[in-house]
Amino acid sequence: MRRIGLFLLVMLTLTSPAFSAGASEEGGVVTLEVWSRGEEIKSFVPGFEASHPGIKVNVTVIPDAEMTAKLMTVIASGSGVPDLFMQEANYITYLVEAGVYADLREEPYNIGQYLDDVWQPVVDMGTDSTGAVRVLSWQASPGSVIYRRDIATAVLGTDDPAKIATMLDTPEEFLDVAAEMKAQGITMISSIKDLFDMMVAARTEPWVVDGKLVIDPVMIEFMDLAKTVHENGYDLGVDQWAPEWNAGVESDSLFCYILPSWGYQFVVKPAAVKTMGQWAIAEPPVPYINGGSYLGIWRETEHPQEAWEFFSYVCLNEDAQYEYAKQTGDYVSLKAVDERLAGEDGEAVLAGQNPYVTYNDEMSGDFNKLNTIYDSSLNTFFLNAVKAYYDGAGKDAAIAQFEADVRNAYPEIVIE
Amino acid sequence: MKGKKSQAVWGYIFILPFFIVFLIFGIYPIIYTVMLSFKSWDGFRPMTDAGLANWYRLLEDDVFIHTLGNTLLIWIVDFIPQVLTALVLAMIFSQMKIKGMSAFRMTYYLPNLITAASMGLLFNLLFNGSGSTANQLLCALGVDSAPFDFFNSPAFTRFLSSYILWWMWFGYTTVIIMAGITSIDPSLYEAAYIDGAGKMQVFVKITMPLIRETLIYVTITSIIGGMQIFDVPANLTNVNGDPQRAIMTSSMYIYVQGFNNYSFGYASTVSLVLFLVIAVLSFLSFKLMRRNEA
Repeated sequence: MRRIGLFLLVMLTLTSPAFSAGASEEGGVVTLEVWSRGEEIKSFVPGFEASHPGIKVNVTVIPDAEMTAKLMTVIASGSGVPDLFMQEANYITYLVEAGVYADLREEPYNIGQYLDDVWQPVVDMGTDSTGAVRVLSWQASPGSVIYRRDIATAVLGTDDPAKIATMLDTPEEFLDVAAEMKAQGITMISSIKDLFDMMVAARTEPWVVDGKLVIDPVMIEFMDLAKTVHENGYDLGVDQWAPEWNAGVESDSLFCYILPSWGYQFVVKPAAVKTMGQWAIAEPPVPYINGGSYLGIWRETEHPQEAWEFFSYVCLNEDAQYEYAKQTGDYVSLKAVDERLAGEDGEAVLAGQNPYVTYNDEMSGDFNKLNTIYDSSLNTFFLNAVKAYYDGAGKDAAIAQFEADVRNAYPEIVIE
Repeated sequence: MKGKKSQAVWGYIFILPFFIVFLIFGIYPIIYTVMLSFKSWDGFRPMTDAGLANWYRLLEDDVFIHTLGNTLLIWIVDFIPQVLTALVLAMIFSQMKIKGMSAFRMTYYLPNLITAASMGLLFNLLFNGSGSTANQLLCALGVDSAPFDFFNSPAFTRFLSSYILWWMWFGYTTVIIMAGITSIDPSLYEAAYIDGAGKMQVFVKITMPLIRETLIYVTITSIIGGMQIFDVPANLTNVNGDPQRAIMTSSMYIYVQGFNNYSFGYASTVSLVLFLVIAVLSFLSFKLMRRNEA
């Protein structure tokens, strides 16, 4: 009997409301369920709950790799879907196009009137092919060259961000600087992937146009650039997030990371102890945006009004984003907040430089809208082809490998 | 009679929970997978009928064959040394009196308790990048062509995957084989020694034939596990089995087709074929080892 009792107890627990994700209402207080890919959004919750006494927010953190799978399960079953959920920039387009998020232009959201306050690339990312705005982010992730001042001064004679940016302006100049660095025993960049994330933004057309694969000439040029970098040892020879990639921050032989704003926030800043005050941020030769968490509202949420309150608090409320930026050092999606932050004191790690100034400058430029639902896979395939190329495969063979990979993963894409 | 019958009912009731759980979490997903293999489904939009499209696609899929080859290669290079090591260790442990034997046994078993994610990190630190431990060591020793780009070499990463699996599992196999050896009647050994047999002879002529069942068990469970290798190679580089899919196993391929490419129909087709491959391999090895017995 005790076993049967235990079994019943387990079944009861599994079917109890605590295990289903959707919003619940108790004593007039609505609890919103939010599935997040990271901890950052939790910074908004105390402020939101204090200013919205009728709404509680319950954040569940789910890693990127599992988020889509978990969403599929709950959406397919139709119950337990969170009121709001997010995904990383590289994967969000798929969800945006899949129509799982509410169209925020419509009632009761009416987001149209606020969109001018948000950096355009963030709005573009959250807009689907029909023009519906599905998601936004509280972050924008402009790219940058995060480099060592002491090494720049020793090798290039200056540590001025504007001058460094000019020195790296074209691939040829970039390679010249890399050669100078190498001669002094310094590795130019951390990873080919860092370089790729920037160069992929230099394309004029997305990977897939009208169902057809497009290999932009810029990508072919990148193959040679990457080969030169790799063969000359201008990179550390590791992928992003490899232990050695992270360790580069405190080494004496790495010149720069080419990373978006989160690279400074999560990679350089926390690790810079010995190299405190030795870093600077310059605009990258190719302006680009990479990463960020995008948040949207489940199209069938039972609490659209409350969900919108939280959404707009996170993505559209200037005071909330300002507080968040002060807490985390993140670069946010509202123009006014970034402009306000640009007028404040700089960072100790950057010897007093204010990164918001550089990033705002970059964000004001034009960006091509290049995102497709295939990007994360196709970027990986292309980078693999590049590696095959610098490992000795011919260029045509490498491109053929890329095309074969695309055909294998997405038979629907036409390759000419 | 009546009493016996009512007792039998209780028997069924007591085994019922297992069958309920098995039906829900074992049989139902398998049937669902079969159904999905005839569908086209991205996980979000409504499912559509695909007929035999997924199965035709599989017939022309070189990548699947490639991953099957990878899986077999990684498994064989891991399994053969694993059984040999385990046999040698089991022989030493059971035939000789060694001080601190249980400490040794525990030490050999320990790698089995480490998670694949930790393994991935550990071997990344050892081999990934020009500043990795191995490369620093090789450079310090004055090896001319160092640093090596270990993680860009298909052969090396395959070997490393096999090595990690061997390292993680030989202790476990040793324990299982030793359990088989302990179940052998000691009087057989005594009789053999009285007849003047040497230790090696006893091992080959008595121990080996009598642990055949254990070896069959080890082989079949290893085939089933080995054909589904996922965590070690995926954590060593990434789920695409880089470099150039050298360590992409069939399970990783299923994962990629499902969760990266959102082709659940096709991923289901591939998993069914993998299921068949495992069934056939298990059956063959079972038959092969049984036939030798006769």
